[in-house]
Amino acid sequence: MKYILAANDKDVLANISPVFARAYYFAIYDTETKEVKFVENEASQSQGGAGIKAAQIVVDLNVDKLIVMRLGENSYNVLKLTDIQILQTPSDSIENIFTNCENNELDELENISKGFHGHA
Amino acid sequence: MVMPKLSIAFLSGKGGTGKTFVSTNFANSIESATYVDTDVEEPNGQIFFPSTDISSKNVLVKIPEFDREKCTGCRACVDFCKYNALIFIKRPFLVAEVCHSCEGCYHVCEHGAIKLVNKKIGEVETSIYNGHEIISGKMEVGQMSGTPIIKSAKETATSDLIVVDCPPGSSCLVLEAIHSVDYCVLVVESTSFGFHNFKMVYEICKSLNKQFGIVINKYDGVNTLVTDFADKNGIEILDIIPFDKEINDITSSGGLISNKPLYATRFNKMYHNILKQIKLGDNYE
Repeated sequence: MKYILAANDKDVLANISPVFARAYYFAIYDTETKEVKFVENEASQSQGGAGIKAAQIVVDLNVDKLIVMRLGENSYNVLKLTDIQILQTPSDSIENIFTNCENNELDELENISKGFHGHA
Repeated sequence: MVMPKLSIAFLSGKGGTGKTFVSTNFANSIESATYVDTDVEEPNGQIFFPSTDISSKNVLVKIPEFDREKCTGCRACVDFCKYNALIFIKRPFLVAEVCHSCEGCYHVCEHGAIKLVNKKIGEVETSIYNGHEIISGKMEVGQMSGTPIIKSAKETATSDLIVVDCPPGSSCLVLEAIHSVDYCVLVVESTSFGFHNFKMVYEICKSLNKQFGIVINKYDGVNTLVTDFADKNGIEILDIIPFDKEINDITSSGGLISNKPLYATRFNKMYHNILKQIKLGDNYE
């Protein structure tokens, strides 16, 4: 299984990014190899529609679970078209969050953030 | 005197300085002038020109629709969309709220799998008040951009003098509103805040080589930020409207001060001052 979360530093000891779409990186954890890989989040520099693009990147990476602190409406609307499970976490280190996820200690995301969409 | 078609825009940078106040009264003072409200996100100029007979036309833009039979899943459209309005999950999907109707996806599709369909984003309303054509652009809630509505509202005007009441700020909407106008009136409040935002629209007018002048509104007789700036840069001050109780009372009850001859004369003078300046410029025939 593969888990993904948004990160602002390429360091498993650093905390998860509080925002999803405009984080600099995504951290991907593979439960088979126990390895964490970082990829750039190309959506972070988008003028608009970053939430949609970031969700698309997550979809294209073929992951099973996405872990977020919070998630915007546009990202959610894309992800709900897929089988990707969305889990919620309080702020914590990337390493701890992946461990908690593997131990099934994270709950499903309940609320989505309305954000500031459409405020040009 | 036969005049060629002339359009004058009223803009301000800061909201609440009196664009609508000055432009509605200006239009009302000049025989058969058309008033166009291009503040499509929250138009309110119509309030001052009451009418029971309002006609309306829809403003439509094009959005893509996908033919699942013809789509090969090449993702060319998704990769092209700079607004991130297209996603690909086994097949392309449109996030309509984010689409800017650029039609780019339609042009990059090599398989004829995209057709463009109409989407309504707003309306343009037209009525008549004392021989004036009153036009108002209205955007529907939740739409991404009102620029096509502004374009449509301006194109609806038929008279020889078109008064364009601009949206506040210095955004794309304002650029669309002043596009192709002959003269810009910068309505400014003589406060530090008003002056700051005035300079933003001043820069726009300068960089677009627009002819322009200033109207100071709600003048307190004390603050000289704007007058000093105008003197230093050789900008025409078309009028200084005082902070006055009578003006406030009439306006805040939905009236036009230009229905009083004294004020009508004042706005007429402003008009002739503008005409004089346009004649001095190059692009007047």
